[in-house]
Amino acid sequence: MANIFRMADINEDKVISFEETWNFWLGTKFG
Amino acid sequence: MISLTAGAANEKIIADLKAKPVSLFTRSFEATDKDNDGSLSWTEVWTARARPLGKPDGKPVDTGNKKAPVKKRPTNKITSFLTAAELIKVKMGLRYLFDEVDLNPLDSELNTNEFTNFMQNVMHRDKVSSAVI
Repeated sequence: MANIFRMADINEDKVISFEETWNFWLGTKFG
Repeated sequence: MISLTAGAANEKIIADLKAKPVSLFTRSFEATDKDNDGSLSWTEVWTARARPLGKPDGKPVDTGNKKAPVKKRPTNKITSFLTAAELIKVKMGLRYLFDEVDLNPLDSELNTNEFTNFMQNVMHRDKVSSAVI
């Protein structure tokens, strides 16, 4: 899960915004 | 149930999606917007049906070629009305789950624990869009 968090945290500020969540989702096989 | 037209957050989601250079999204959006009021009601989204763009009746074009049609592999391209509607529903579903696990909604960001809860919620749903149903 830590790896997934780092992948989603695009700007590396240690928190995940909704836009980062959405971009992460688009990058998965579901998006 | 969340209304697609209720709330500034949902309007922003739809506006963001329309602004993105997503192939065919705008055309698909307009085709789904039956009353042309610039927004999609829940009924318009829910009653949208997948059908190829450019083929209103859904029938294949008769080219006179009698060979068996070659099945095309599915792609990730947006090729149907439903895909655009689904895109909205998925993003709204993610937003719903995001807000659900965000214990400090003022910052509107997820820390490690909140993100873990978010992913667990996502993985325990058959479809993210079910979150808005």
